[in-house]
Amino acid sequence: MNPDLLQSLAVTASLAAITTACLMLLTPPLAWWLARTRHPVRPLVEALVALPLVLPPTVLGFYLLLFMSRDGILGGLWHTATGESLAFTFSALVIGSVVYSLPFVAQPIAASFRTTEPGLLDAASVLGFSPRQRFLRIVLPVHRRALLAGAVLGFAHTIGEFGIVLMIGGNIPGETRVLSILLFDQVEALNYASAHLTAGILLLISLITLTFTYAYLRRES
Amino acid sequence: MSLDVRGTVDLGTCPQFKLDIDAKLPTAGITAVIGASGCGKTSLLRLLAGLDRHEDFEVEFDGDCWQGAHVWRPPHERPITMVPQHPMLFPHLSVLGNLRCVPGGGDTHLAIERFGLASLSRRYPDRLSGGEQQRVALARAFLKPAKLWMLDEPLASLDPIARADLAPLVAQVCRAAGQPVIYVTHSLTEVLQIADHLLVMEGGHIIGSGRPEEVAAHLDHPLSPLIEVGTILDCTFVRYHNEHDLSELRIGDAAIWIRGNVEDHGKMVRVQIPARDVALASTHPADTSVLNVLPVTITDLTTAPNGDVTVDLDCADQTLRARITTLSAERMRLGPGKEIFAMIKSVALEPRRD
Repeated sequence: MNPDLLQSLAVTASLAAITTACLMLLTPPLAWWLARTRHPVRPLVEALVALPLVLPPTVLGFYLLLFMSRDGILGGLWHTATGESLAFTFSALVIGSVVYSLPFVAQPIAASFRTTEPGLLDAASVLGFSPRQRFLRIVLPVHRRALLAGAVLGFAHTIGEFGIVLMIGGNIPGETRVLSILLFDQVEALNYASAHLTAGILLLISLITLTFTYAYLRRES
Repeated sequence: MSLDVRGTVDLGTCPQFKLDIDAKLPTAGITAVIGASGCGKTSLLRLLAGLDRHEDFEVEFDGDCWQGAHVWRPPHERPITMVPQHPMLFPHLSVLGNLRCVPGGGDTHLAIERFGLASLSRRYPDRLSGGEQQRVALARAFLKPAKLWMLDEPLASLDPIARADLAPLVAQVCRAAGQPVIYVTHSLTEVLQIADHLLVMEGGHIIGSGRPEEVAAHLDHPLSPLIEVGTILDCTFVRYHNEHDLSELRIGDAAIWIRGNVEDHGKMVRVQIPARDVALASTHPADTSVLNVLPVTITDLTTAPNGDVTVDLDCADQTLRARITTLSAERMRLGPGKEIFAMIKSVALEPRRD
């Protein structure tokens, strides 16, 4: 196997893993809020979360690039804090991936959260569970299937992203060159033998991940 | 100790329905809250628990304000515990897990023993029958240290067999509570034997409150949904007559006979007598198949719109009620103070199982 491929595989795997970890910390509270709140701002938040589903990744990438450039809000803060620029780094990719994959994780989880039996939460309340304990000890374990499904979708979707990576990560070997970008390069260079291998690996990873997940979800139910 | 509830709450279920309460609830023993479905019983309980937030409803327990003007204590900070109508076990935890998860909960081994859960402890809620689930829910609720216990129709969701199976345990646990218990039900018979205090609700109001026998006697009205209540008498157990399969009870100097052996109900047996099963006689009837003939004194007569006359009778300082026709009342020349005899069909006597 050529070193480019291995390098890109490593970048892709760590990007997907870190992104999924971030999403699994961020999404459940957000999804719980979305599932429960009657606040008038909810539809707007829901729309913002869902935007990556409909926007071309390049549009999203463009705005994220502005946001993370040294003149942008986040890029500026990042520069002040670390002395380095944010755009075209691995960290920028993680931020972009989190935003881009958010709906794929948040929507199944929120849909599942909405089915929570209210009596279960009432029972927990009168037994002395604080809202936080209810969330951590009742809601999360009860909806573990949805959490797993969300995590897998987020992981698989991050592996498959292309447009947004190109916009905010560029194509830096070992830093931001993920498998999908490598594939693009290989095809551009008419290197079809390598492209086959890269595409095959992407296909296989996605297929295996999803198969195992669906098998597990079926067994659980 | 006191439990004050005060306020008006629009329940929003239908436009006119309001919970309108200003009451001091008893804080000793077992208070049964009864009433037809939709009378506001469960709403009252949810307010006490803090599960429904209504700002203009005040709840004060033992000098401690749980909710009122600018005060709101969330349910998990109230010293309460509650058995809901449906078991609501946490599906991801085993029976043991459900018991252990109670924050600051008591000894789970003791609870397993007391509620007979040893053979179920490793099972998950979806592998339990409805009755078993409710048994676990009871155990779980009673593991929480609480100053006020609340049960919301704990037997209503069960089939008759499971209900008969669980009722004695519920009664026993309530009696052993040592804390005030509020027991909501639409079935008087469920709480008759154990309630120290009866609270009757109708249309969002408390329409009766007091000792069960007083309240039940007072509410025996043709229009009342509690028409089957009749009266309740506290009797002492004397002995069981094996040859006739009858138990002999005593109220004052008179004997009351009841089918079967009720010895295991303890010294005091509470019996229920529907007013329509009580017949009256001016003299002691000598030859009658009716076993239970009690000397009584008329205290009051009321004529209902449908022509029935309800006769309040004093029987060893307890109130018995008879419902007769106006014709009978006129023929017998009944009036307050008159001493007569009440005949009760023995089959009409039903001590509650506990």
